[in-house]
Amino acid sequence: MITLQNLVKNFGKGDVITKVLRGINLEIKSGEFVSIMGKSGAGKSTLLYQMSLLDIPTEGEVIVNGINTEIFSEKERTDFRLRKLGYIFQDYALLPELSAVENVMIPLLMRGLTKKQASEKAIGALDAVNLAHRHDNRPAQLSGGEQQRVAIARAVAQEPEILFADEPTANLDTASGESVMKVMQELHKNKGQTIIMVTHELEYAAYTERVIELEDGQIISDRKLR
Amino acid sequence: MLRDTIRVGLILGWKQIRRANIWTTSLIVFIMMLTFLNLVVVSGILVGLIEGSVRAYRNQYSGDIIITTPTGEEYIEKSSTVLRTLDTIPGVREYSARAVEGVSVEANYRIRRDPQEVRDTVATRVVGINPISEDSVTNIAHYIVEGEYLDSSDEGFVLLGSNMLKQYAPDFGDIFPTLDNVHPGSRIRLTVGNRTKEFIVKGILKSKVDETSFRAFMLENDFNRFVGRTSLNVNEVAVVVEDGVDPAKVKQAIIASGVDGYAVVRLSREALPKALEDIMITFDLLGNAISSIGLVVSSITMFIVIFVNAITRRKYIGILKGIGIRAGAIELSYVVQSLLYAVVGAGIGMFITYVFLVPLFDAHPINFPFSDGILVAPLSGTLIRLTILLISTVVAGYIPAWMIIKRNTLDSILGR
Repeated sequence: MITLQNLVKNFGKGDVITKVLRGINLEIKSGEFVSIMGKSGAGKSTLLYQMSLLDIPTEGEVIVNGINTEIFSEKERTDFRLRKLGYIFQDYALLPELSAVENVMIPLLMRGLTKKQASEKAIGALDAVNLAHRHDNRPAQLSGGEQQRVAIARAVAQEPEILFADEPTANLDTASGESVMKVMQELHKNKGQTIIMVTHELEYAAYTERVIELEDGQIISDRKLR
Repeated sequence: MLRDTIRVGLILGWKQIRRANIWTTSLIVFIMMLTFLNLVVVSGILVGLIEGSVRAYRNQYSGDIIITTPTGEEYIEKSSTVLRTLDTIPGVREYSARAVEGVSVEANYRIRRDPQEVRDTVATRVVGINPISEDSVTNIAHYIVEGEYLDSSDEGFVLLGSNMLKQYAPDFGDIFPTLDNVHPGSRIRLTVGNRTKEFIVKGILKSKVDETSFRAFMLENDFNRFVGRTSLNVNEVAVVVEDGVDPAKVKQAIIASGVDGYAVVRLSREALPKALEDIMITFDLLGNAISSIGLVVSSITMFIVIFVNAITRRKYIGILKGIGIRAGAIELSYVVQSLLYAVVGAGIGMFITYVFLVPLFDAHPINFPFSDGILVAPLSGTLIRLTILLISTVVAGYIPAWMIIKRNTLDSILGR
């Protein structure tokens, strides 16, 4: 599903260049639930951004479903993200002026669904993450855990081929964090959703079936948990 | 695809407006309203200042059509034929025939003891009128500020324009001579050629139209006897057309009837001094120049508003792009916002202009020294200005949004 070939990402210019990813080679298959772990500065979020087409690597290739994404224009990358990929950000990234259901609906409307179809799908997604009673609440009226579940609903409602999650539990208390992880685990189990998650907490990585560990921009271990 | 982009852009824009701070929104709308008023009212008043003169010229002197003596002629030949013709032209409501002659007016001659002393005189034109028809055409009686208007039996009486009198036109005294201490009841002496006759001042006329305030008026019989005109020919005829009738068509009918063989037939506006027309064009340009400064200021304001809005929401813009919302939809959301501010502001401005300001200035013109200024805001011109305002607002809203949106998606999300 995703193949990374000699992926390099550098920051800075001239003499001051920071090498964040140093030649990553990786393959993730459809239906896998993968966690990427590592210490702060190991390059795990940077790796996620390259895989999820939010950033462009300095060198190397990101191949998704056999398509080399190097050839994509900015507009094509945006469209590809809309149709194939889903995102869960660390800080939920909900639009403050929209209600929970509207937040979930916006990408669906962008994909061409009618308002009714988008609304039904958004409500279904929110119900699936146990937010049936929070449809019309705005983000400011929701707890952190609830906001993250709205973000999951937004990502899942689009039925993405790959769901990317960047430390989705980082801003949550333990109970909320576990609740979010259970939702993702159910998605994987029930729907076979491919999920790639960055985390630095082992207890959450334990929910996944494959753990990739990074250090100084290189993969130091890649092991299956189950 | 485009439809989805537009739909999402409209939703995002509308939601942002609905959830925006009401005071901020009100302030922006208020600025747009002021900009609109600046665009329409400033040039409208500058043009209206001259338009007030034009209207006054028509209402107080020329009527809708003015028939005058051809250059080089002493008066309109066959005036009675011209007047009889006017009686037959459809659309002519009424007219006033005037006989005009240059005169010298002298006052205070009775108290002048020293023959070497400079006489208190002014040179002007005296007009012989039928007071009833003149008043029905020009409403001249309305401009009497002292004494009374003439009636048909007032032989030996005259009306004097206020600009000939020192108490009304002290500033003119340095340029033109004025008569001192002349009031209703004062005796004055009028001289035409070698004919001199004493008249009693019955009233003083004060108007911002020189043809009223720089002339003397007397009964037509008095005029003919005094001047020695036996032909009953007149020098000018002011014609008023019926309501709803196009004066240009009546003018054509008058010309077609052969009147232009004896006289010059012009619409009121055609008879205006060319300088007035030039001033009107100049003021219109001046108004547009001043308005365009306001337009630039409002565009900059809108640019700043949208720029600040977009820069503070840069993270969310990044997120929207990150989850696949097209740049066009996000840009449109900001254009929708700026357009709505402009439409609401301009809408309120139009309401104020046409419901309050235009009727207000019509009822209570601004008292400028040389005219009663009104607000000229023709709908066609207003719509052009509105379109310019909307276009400039859309551009001013689009550019900052485009500047922020084109930045790297990830940098926007991470705020770097």
